[in-house]
Amino acid sequence: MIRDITLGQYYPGDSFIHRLDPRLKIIAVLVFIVALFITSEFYGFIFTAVYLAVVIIISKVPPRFILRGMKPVLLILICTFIINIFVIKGGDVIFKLGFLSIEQNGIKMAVFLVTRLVMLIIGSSMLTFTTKPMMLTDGLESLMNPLKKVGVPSHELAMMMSIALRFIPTLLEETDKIMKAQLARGADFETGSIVKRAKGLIPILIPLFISAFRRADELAMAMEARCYRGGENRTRMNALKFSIRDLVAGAVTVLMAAGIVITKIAM
Amino acid sequence: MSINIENLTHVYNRGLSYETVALNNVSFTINDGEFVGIIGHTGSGKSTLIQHLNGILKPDSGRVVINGIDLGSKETNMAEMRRKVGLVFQYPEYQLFEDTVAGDIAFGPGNLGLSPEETEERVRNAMRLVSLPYESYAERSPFDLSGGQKRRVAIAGVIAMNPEILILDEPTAGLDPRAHREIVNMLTNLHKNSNITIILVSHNMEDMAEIADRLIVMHKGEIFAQGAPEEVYYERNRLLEIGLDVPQPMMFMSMLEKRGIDSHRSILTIDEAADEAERILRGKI
Amino acid sequence: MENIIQIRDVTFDYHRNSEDEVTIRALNHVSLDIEKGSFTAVIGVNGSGKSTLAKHLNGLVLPTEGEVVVCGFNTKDNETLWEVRRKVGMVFQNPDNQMVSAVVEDDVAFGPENLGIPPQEIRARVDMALQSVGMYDFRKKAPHMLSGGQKQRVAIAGVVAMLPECIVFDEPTAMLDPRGRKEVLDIIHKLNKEDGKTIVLITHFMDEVVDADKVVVMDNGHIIMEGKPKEIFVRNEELHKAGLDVPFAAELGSRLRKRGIEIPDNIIFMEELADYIAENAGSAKNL
Repeated sequence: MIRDITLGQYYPGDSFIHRLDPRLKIIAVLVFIVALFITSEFYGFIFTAVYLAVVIIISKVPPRFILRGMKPVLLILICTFIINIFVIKGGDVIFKLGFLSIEQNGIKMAVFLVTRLVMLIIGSSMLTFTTKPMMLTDGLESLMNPLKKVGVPSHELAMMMSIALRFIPTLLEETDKIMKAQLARGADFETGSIVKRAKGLIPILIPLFISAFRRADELAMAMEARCYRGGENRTRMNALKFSIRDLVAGAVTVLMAAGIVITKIAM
Repeated sequence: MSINIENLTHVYNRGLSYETVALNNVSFTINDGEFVGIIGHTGSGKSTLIQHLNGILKPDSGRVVINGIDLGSKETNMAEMRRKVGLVFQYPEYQLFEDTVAGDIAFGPGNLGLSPEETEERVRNAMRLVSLPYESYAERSPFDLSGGQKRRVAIAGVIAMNPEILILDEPTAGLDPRAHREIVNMLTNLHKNSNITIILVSHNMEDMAEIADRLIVMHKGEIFAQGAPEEVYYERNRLLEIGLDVPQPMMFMSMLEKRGIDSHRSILTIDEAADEAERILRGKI
Repeated sequence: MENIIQIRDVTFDYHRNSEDEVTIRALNHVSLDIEKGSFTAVIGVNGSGKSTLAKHLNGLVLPTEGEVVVCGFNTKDNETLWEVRRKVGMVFQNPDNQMVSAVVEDDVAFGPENLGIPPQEIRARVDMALQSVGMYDFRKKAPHMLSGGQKQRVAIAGVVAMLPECIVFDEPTAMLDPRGRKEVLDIIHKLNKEDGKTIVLITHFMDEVVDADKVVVMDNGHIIMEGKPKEIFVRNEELHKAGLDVPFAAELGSRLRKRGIEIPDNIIFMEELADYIAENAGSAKNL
């Protein structure tokens, strides 16, 4: 069911990865994503795959948990694969049926794109799996701080994100509950045309939005009662500190990126 | 309709480090027309159990048989079974979405493909059963009603499906005493005026003592005790041991017992307690 | 005793929605003093105005007429509003909707962080607050993994960490199961008795108010009764009229009186009634 969605959740732990400075992790994910996109050869992927595998192993987040998070995007991945396999042309023709044909480049591109997407999703989920939402927003806020001067409300943006992350499990649970309740009233979400199915979502979305607004209202009041008045004069319990641990992890990330750039030039 | 649960087991997050056995080899029978109360702590398996009764959850092992029909069988028409077994979840008012009371109650019958006349008939009937007069409430927005009224609209939405079994998960949670009373009275009348089998999950022991024919006590995914309320509550020490309450009249009798006055009677309601206290005070032991 | 909060002739009107011309009166000339260190229970059905009253106590809502004074500060004064909110903490009904952070200890730190307290002191206060509600072992957990009672205890810790003098509880047990209710009530009483916090408990559960120093009964925006629990519970007919129940012992006592049996009307606890019946068995005096 919907509770299986693990995307964006935090997986509590105390590993090396968990303890890294969130700013470093955010930058590392950005580097990782860029690395994924400059890679166009099989050898490049070895670097990103090994890097990702090592991160997963050290983080002690169970692969089963990570894979469960992939379930909702499985359909997108399959579609991407199928579209690419048929649309991209070039190289030897491997299969032909009427106007449909699969050619070598198509397979190559499809495999590349799906690998890239899978690594992209897993890589960025590793950031949320191993970083407490509060730390993540602290990190973002700190990275965005220089932009404050040009009018970017970095604190507010970070706070919004942190609250959104906090409420993901609550709202998922709620969606699950509302779906079950409407199912018990004979609602049908699984059969019929797209229009019918879209209409079928109304009995879920309206209660969900009403509830989200009610929660927002109550949360705003609770925050005010706890003296929240924006980022001014606010202190933090865990101030961010860059340690040797972060230097090591940063160096490994740079090595991974360098490896990709070198293979790219060498090929 | 009757319900037969045979060796039902359900495990959440199987294989993960936080795997939990929510139901462990549970078996029981509920007869046609019975009013059964299910009590137990949060996490005792009550909610998991009732979600099996209309097939929203599937057993990991064991069978759920309703009127001789096995819910696990491939031939079973699940839509039909979901209609027959109405399930009212906790805080059901959060599922309301239409802009009129009648419109919301009609959602279920509408899904059954009934004619407009028949749907309206169902809505009127359901509103009567939850004591919301059609004339004054049908066209109002459910979101402008009081908490207790909203909840009755949500319950009416399930009753309008004409279920033969009605299951309610803590229908009085979070309500004030007035709204609480309204719901309890409504359930009593519903049971009296229809032959629906009712299963009520609740923490309120006084309500259970008042309205249930039979109680099932769940503890750690297993059935801890079952029987008529006076039998189950008579063994109050067993219930207190697992941290469950007993009805206040019963609690009071046990205090008298500690003071050397043993009435050896099962006292469930405040009226019975008053009778008993009067008898004791007047010296007619 | 010194009054920590004074509510002076407060009336509060609101519009149901922005286009609506008609105003609704949630509070109607309400006056009430809260003594420092006391335990005050406010009871009433939904819509009686009890939650609106609660929100006046720390300036979340400002009176239409009249005023609320907290530790000498008027809640209408913008300059001192944050001082008022620091002194009067508030715990709400739905534990899910008052947690900001996805980790217990970070959530407890939220209040002190807003006060601009140095990091080491925040750490100390968070640990202290979590220990005082018995949730220290859960400090690294995510709120959605906790039971309702545990979540509510974390919410209480979040307020305790701000070192308030008074804590207002707005129906803190309404959404909890009996076990959670007991956990939360035990903590509320501990905060009052051991830590000397002033407590205002808004509820509709009668058995939660029998231990209070003062019970305030609200109906339709008015305070209809105010006094010690024993003084309030003898007036069971008025309470029933306001949609409220009476604790079991008080109700049983009144039923016996109706049957012509003498039961002292100051009995509100089950233990007291059991004692009385045991002592007077067989010697009932007719009224």
